[in-house]
Amino acid sequence: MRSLLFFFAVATLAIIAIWQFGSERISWSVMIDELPVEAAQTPKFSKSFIFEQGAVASVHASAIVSVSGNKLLAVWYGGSREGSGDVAIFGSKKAVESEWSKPGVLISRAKLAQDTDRHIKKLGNPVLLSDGGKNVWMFFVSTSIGGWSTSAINLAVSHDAGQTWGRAKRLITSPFLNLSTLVKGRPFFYQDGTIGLPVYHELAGKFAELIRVSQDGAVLDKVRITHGRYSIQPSIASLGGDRLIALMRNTNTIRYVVRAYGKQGGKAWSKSTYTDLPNPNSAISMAGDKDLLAVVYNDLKHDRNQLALAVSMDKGLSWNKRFQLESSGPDEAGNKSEFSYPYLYRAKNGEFHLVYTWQRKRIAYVHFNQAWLEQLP
Amino acid sequence: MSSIMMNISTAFIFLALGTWVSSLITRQTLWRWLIVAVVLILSLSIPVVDSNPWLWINGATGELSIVSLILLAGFILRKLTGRGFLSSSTRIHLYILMLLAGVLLFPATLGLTQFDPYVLGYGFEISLLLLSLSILYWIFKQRQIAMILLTVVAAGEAGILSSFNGWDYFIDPLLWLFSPVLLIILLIEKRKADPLSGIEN
Repeated sequence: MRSLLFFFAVATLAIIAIWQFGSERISWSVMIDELPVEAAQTPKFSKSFIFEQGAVASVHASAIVSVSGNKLLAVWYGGSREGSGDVAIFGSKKAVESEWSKPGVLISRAKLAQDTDRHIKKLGNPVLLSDGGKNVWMFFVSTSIGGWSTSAINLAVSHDAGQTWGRAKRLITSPFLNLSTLVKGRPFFYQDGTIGLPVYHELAGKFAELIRVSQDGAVLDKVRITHGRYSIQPSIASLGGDRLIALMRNTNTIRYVVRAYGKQGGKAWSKSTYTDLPNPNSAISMAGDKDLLAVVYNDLKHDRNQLALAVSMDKGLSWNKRFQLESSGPDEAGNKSEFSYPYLYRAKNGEFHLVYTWQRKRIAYVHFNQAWLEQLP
Repeated sequence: MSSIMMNISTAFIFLALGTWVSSLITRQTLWRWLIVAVVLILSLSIPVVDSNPWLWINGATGELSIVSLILLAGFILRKLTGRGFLSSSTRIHLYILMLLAGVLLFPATLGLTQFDPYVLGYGFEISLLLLSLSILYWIFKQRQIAMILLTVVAAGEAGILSSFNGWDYFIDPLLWLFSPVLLIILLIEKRKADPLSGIEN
């Protein structure tokens, strides 16, 4: 009888404690968006490469963010081929009106293996978030066994604008051996300082999710954006207030970009629909706000040899193709061209920075502003 | 902490493997300990594709759930010393519980259903559910399971794993996948054993 009473006392205390902790569950308050301070009046557009001749044969999946005020940090992964043992995450920096620095290795497979105390087979898909100063968060995927679909997400943090990176940490996002959570979309901050990270799942189901992560890499909550087996790689932008929009890569045979609207800061999502933007099962990237959204996408249904820029003035309901960034046929040897994995970022001054994979050999960089977008036919 | 618990999980896996192998080879306790030691040394020293088996298991399984660790500890002790601390009745109930919980959790988290039950683990719902189960098991005289579930909740509140999700303290896919096999083995062993022998540990 005494042991029974003791057990119930312990259990009751535990219930009260849990109830207290439960009431502190994370808030989905309005996210902080990178709103433009002042849009430039003069149209600006430039297109270049971050490097001309890469030190490695194959590069892919780039990302860009502004750090330390007005500098830019770009990252990508590269190696002798995708998924090979020598693949590492590279980075390069650029100050205003200056050239990109010589690319250097930021995270190697060996460093990640040492940091996370486990075998690492390959790594890739880095995305960036900055507080505008010297703190930079880089999320990227790695696998220990199997292909990309078995990936887990890692976080490395820099406190000196990307010069050095601290010990990488593996995020726990899934109960199934932590398999199959990948990242491609641009992260963003919530009002409470936590990070919203658009992710996707592609083992069995293929669907998009939004996870909430603390600045030191603890996963605090998650929500599904879509369901089923047809939409991955969400790209999220704010529509003001607590409203969001997500565009996603389409993996089924319909081959149009998938769209969903979020409310309550992304805690709840509408049923997904298809846009009129074609999609050859390839990544897209969106940035902007409720007045103007821009998306970069492969404007074809079956290949990645064209890359275009489209704009929406009605919160993503309709899109108008405004500019052809790339268009190329096969080379002399018959190899198909590839312009893929765009990553569009809007800095706090309202200017857009775009990076993407150019023929898997280089990372292209495009810089433009809203004035340039508005004067396009 | 995550690295520590991950390495403890991997240590338990290799200890369990070593004790199982040793139980097949010899009945002498000293030899069993030696074989376990050899397995542990080999797991850290055999080169496997620029790594070793220990780091491969770290990469493949990560941290095991608290229930898995308790079951593995019971298995290792039982094989090495002849005295475990979990009754066969406890293990049967746990395997059934894991089987049912896994059926509810894993297919849904892989996308089979629209609802994702894993999300509940970030709140207090799973802890409350486990505590309720714990009380029920206690009432129905399954006190070992009640204490195990209480331990799971306490570990979750203390945050000893790197996950903030209550499910990860309760179940892992290895345990789920092995549960039906272990359940069948245990039921066969029970049938073979003397029905009057009671607790078999």
